[in-house]
Amino acid sequence: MSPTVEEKPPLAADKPKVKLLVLVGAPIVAMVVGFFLWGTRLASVVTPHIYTGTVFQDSSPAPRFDGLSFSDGTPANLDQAAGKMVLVFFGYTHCPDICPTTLDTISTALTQVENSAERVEVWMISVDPERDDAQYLEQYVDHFSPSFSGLSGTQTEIDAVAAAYGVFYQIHEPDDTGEYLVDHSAQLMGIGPDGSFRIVWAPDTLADALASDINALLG
Amino acid sequence: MTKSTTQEPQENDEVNWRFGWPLKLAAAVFFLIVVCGISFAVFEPIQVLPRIRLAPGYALTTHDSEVVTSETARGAITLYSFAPTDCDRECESSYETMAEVALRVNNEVDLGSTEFRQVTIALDADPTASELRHASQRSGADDNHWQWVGGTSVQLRNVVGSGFKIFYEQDSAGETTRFDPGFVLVDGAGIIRGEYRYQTLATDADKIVHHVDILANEIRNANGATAVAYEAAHLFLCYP
Repeated sequence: MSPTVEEKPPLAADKPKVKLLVLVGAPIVAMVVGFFLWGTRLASVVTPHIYTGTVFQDSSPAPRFDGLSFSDGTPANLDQAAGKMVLVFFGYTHCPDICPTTLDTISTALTQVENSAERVEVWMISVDPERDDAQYLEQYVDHFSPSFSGLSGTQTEIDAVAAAYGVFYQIHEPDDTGEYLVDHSAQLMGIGPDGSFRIVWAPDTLADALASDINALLG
Repeated sequence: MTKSTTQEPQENDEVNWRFGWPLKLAAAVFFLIVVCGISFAVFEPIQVLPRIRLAPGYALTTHDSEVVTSETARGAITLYSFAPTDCDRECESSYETMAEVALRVNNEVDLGSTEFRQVTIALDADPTASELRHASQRSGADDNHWQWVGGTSVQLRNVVGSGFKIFYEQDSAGETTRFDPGFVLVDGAGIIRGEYRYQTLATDADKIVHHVDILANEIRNANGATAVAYEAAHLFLCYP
């Protein structure tokens, strides 16, 4: 009997390891199963990303871009961007401040998003169709990133899309040199890869915060 | 034999002491989080109004030729109503609701530094300054916190029809306007947070004042760490 007892130590040493494995493994398995059962809602509360932008819980479809087209004449619709997130901004090429700042911020933010070219599209809709012809608009957005696109249409078409996206714009009277400014809302908006309207960012959002939100939305 | 049998529990105790308490702590934290999550969803300690969709962008004009835009309303909680400028008896209850809301929000709601505005959009296209002024006087609007504005038929279509989704139509002569009355509550970020189209047991004024209070609370409190709780309330759809 005595020799048998003497042979036990190796087994006795394994027993705590098994117990330890169970103690460590069980909560992990429970946690994974718990998250699975509760879905992403609980998971995102337990490890929340605090969005800088304002997020929409409802997954209603983003307003359409009826009548607007890309610089190459292709009609703009979200089917073309299926599976990608689309960032929408309203501006114009003669814009002195907020438009270049915003496009630059987006460009910087997208450097912090993995495979951004394959996952995110940026559409700038011109609120100055008189001066922003297709070629000029494309050159302008290309300056910030070749992957950015410029969209335009008639004044009536732009009016309808701008209103749907909560954007106000007003063209001022030209000065003596014929130059004029356009007042416009400058929020940036994000449409999810499924075509739902997901988020609005205030004009002063920083690139890091923007990148962080985009990454969180893309998962 | 005695030696070996006394060593085994000692090793177990050592392992328990080294690994047991962190595991128990982790399990307790996990349990607590789950309980908190369930409690939050069930008891809704914070209520929020849903973010329904973006309010339309617009630039409409008052009887003083002042241009009121969606950017003018940025940062303020704005209540919109809709009526033709020649609307009398049919719009009486709507005017009364607007007046009651103005009074009660002023008296009952802690708005903090947030402004509360009211805008009535005239449903007849291209109203004259005189028509807007008379409508404003008839309804009791003060032209300061409560303004009447009007626009072209295209603007009305984009803003009232497509944007606020309020039904209205004018006869071919442009004299009679049929419409569904309603109110729309918009937050300072230009997001629609409440739509009031149907009569319920609670009056429109009761509902609107209650909702302005919820919105004002969110604006006042959703800062820093508390913002997470408010986002959780949105996530769990803790709506009134």
